[in-house]
Amino acid sequence: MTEARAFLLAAGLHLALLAALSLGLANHIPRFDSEPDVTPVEFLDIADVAQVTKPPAPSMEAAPREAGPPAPAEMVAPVPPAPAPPAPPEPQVKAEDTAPQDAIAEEVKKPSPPKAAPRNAKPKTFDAGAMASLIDKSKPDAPVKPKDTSQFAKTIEQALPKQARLSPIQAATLEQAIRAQVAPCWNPPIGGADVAGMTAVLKIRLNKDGSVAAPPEFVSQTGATAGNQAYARAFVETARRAVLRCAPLELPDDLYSYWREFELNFDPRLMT
Amino acid sequence: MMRFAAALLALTLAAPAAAQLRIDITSGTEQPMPIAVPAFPTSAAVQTPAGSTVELGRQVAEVISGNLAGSGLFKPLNPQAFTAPGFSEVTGPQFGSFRAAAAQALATGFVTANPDGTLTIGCYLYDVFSEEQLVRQGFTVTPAGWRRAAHKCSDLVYSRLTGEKGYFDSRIVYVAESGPRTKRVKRLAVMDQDGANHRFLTSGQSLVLMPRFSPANETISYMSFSADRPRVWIYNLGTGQQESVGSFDSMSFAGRFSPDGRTLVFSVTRAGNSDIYAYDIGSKTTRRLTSGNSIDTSPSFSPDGRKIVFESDRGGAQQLYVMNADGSGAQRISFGDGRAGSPVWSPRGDLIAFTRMQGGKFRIAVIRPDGSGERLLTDSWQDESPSWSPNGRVILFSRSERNGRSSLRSIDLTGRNDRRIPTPMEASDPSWGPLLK
Repeated sequence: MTEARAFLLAAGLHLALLAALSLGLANHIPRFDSEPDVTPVEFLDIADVAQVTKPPAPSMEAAPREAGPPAPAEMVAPVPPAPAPPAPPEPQVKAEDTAPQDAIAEEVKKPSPPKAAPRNAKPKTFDAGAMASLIDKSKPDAPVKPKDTSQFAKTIEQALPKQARLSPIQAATLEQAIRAQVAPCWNPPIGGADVAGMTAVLKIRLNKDGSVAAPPEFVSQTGATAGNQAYARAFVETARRAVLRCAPLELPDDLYSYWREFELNFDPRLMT
Repeated sequence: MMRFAAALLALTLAAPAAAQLRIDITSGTEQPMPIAVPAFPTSAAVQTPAGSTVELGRQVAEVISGNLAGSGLFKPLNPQAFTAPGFSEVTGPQFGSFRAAAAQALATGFVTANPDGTLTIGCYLYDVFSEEQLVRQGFTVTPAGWRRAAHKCSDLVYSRLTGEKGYFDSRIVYVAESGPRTKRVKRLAVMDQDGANHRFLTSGQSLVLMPRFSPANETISYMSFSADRPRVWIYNLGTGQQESVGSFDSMSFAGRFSPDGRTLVFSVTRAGNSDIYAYDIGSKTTRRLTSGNSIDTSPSFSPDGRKIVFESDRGGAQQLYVMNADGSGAQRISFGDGRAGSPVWSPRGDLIAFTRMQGGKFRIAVIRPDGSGERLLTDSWQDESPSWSPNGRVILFSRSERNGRSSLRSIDLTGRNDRRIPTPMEASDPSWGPLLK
């Protein structure tokens, strides 16, 4: 019944339209030109497979400058972008490109091997050892054990790359230095509806020259829901971009063992 | 033995569970993201009715740059600052030149003419730092429709980088004003959100006010004074058909569509009393939602269709109230100095934009639906008639200067990026339509 009515109605309207058109009334009816169609099309992946010009992904192995890798990995470029002319990107095997970079890297690099902060040794232990050694010297027949143990402990401490023995002041200074360099590079998407409560933690690995040794690694995120995945992803990407954009970070050489690997918690709560 | 023990002791002391440094980054910058949008290359220069594919490639990039810059969230770089990729490089660009130009993202693509006369416009987005392809999409359009492909590409780039929906492939309806104050001509006009493809919908013979786009389809409602009585009309942009809403022997105002486009809410005034009604477009039946002696007007649906925000003077001065869609449970949400009017619920649902009137000024403000977090976004003499972009990120409004001139403007919901929308003549009462399909 309704179908029949709809058909009749449609037929009637068609007739009316035909009549209107034939009478030239269409020109008087305000009409809006319907928008042209846009048909989305997918592209195949062929081009991606053929991408052989992509530089190898930076890795810890590629990081050491001493090895003199022939092609500087893009992500770990040790020198800040020099005001070079925006010439076409360097071919991979351009010798004069790598050589100066290595030379600079050598210059920048301090000749001393990485060592842990000597301040870590507890003053008391150290003093006792020193006192003992002084006493030892005054008395040639005195036992030397106390001195030896203290020094041995120290060498072990030095040999250990990872220790969480940063003094509170050092830690605060280091945190401040990292924060001051990363925050200006972070452009969080603060206008998003779900920005409240959204945070992201990334693990950062740096080379000794402050460049990133590996792409920032996603650790965790809060505030992400099934409904805001695109936003949550974009949020993490802004954090990742901030690190890559700010690198190389300028941080104290002698504390390298503490900032070689750390986590950044991106939380725009002060901006919203 | 003693040495070994001491060494062991030292080892245990020196290597506690690695307490890794963890640093909170609680603030950042709000600089627009630098992005490179080079002219889209073509496989072969072909003449089309809209110009050569080479020229179109340049224009597509310009439209995308304009859209992204207009959002206030991106800073398209000067194309002189980098080397534009050739056609074969679109799928695997060299990033050195873009990195040197300090671009963080690269939006590129291509324009090719197809044998059937259509164009395919490819759109690719890359992260310059990680050198990853973030997203890509192609669009097949008629040559005349190239702008829509450019808007679609802009939306793709915007949504991938911000995580929010886009809003560039959309249109705006508004009231174009001309002539002297005493004999003002007001016409309905529609245009793309960037001001392109402008055209008039009415001749200007009768006064028109308050056009409102349906969030669901190509339909607008508006008020027209025919026979000196204001009445709400519905106008289908596709067919050009119009119909009057309801048959009231009194004035009806300020219609707005429900999110599904099937219901229109508006107010009807009788003898100084104004109430809100809902009109079912399919069945052409009306239902009264508010009652009483107060002036209840300017209703606007929440995006889930369950609530309606409106303005009422039931508490003395004009303020905002939220009620259920059936008219029950009205609660006041705006307080503070001055009056509050013309509320409109964000398509995102999280905010309501409205006009805050205080101290002789009209300013655009936002408030959460529960009445918290009120923020003033603009500070001019007379800003009013807010309307949301389809993604709920940008607010369009009209600004009147003290000299009487009025124009359309938009502002980001963060209160930044107050910018003028170009119109060929004076303009007021804008309404932003949905994303085109």
